[in-house]
Amino acid sequence: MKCHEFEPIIISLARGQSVEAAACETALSHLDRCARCASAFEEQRILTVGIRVATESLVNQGASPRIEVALRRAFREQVGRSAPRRINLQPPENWRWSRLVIGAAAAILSLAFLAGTDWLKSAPEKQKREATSLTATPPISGHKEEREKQALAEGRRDQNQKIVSNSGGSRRLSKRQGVRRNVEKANEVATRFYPLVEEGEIAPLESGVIVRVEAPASTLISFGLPITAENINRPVQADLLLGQDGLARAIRFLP
Amino acid sequence: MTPSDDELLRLMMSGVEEAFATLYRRYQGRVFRFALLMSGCPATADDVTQEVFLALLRDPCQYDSSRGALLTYLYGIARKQVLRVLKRSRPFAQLVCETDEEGPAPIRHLISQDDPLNELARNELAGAVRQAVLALPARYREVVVLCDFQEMSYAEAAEALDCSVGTISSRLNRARALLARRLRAGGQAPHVSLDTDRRRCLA
Repeated sequence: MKCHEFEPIIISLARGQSVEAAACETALSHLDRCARCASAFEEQRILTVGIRVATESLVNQGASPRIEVALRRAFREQVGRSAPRRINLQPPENWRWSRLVIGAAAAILSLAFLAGTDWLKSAPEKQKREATSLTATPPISGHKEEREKQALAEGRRDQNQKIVSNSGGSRRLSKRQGVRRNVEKANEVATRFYPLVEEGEIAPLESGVIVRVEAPASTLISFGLPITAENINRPVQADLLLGQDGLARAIRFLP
Repeated sequence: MTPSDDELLRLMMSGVEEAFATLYRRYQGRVFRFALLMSGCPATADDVTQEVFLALLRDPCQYDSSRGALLTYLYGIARKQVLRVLKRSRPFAQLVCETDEEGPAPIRHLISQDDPLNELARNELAGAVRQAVLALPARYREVVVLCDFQEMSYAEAAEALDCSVGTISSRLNRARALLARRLRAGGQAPHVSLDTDRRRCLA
């Protein structure tokens, strides 16, 4: 190996970078023969050590804490909020009761839905039974008067049956609507309420009001809720729970 | 599980302060050290770090993850900020800030106490290297800082400095030659015992 061949790899060797084993072996044998290259290599190795020591001396250094404070303030100003938004994923104690109430309401809605579904299943059978009883063969009678009475009675029954079937149909329709409403109600409570403030940060909730708002779908991400890429720019409906002081305490999202 | 930079950026853009704080804590040290090595002044490094993250905060959409890592992007902003500061203060440039005169105190715990002479020599060497780096022209200094101090690959450094890998390689060679010459002139070389394995490259 000549000096001009050694020079391109001198820094790689000194920095400890991987060099082909054959090239490395040749370079090291060249160092044994060439004092000038050996001196240059030694300088580079010293420099590498110096840089390593200097790097170690800086490893724990970082920006002063006031920078983080200033940046956080700037972030809040940018987001347009005066108070820091800290998300407590563990709900505070008083929210457990709210969760119980929401759970109970969901259970009631589910029961109502199941009852409605059962009724829908049983209604046609009931109607069928009624129709069967109405169309049952009447007892044979030889008397004309009795036949006339029977015919009259049958006519009335037919009318009654029509009325019954009509009213049954309308009732069934209204029941279906009711069931649909129940399903909608059950679907509406899509998420639980997520607290927006930590317990003790503000006054305890004494009374509140729920306000329906629209938020960007990307907000769901911050609460760990799933969202697809195509929906990220679409608004989602949300219910904000405002406390007696007007501050938002919790949020839930609707589908 | 540690959230990725992209996830944190998305959360940050949707208004989650903690996501921004996490990103800041993840990278502020490296941005600060880059600015410190480039400027030699902790106060300037603080300002540059602040400006870098303010830029990210104001316009996060400028970062395109398909073009490179977030850290590379941050280094790019930091470099522009540092060069602006250096250009502005060139007539009054000083190599060492008053607040930086504490010297190599932080490295004491990293060095064996068995050989005080060697420790002293290494501290002197570290200081001399930092001084020599500060004396380099900015275009060489930034390459040394990124490739040698921050241990970035040539490709990453090329991305951060917006130039080719060949340019990085040639500038690094030139910068290291200048540094070696400066250290030789300062008489640092003979006093330091080297602990690097000369045949490590064979592994």
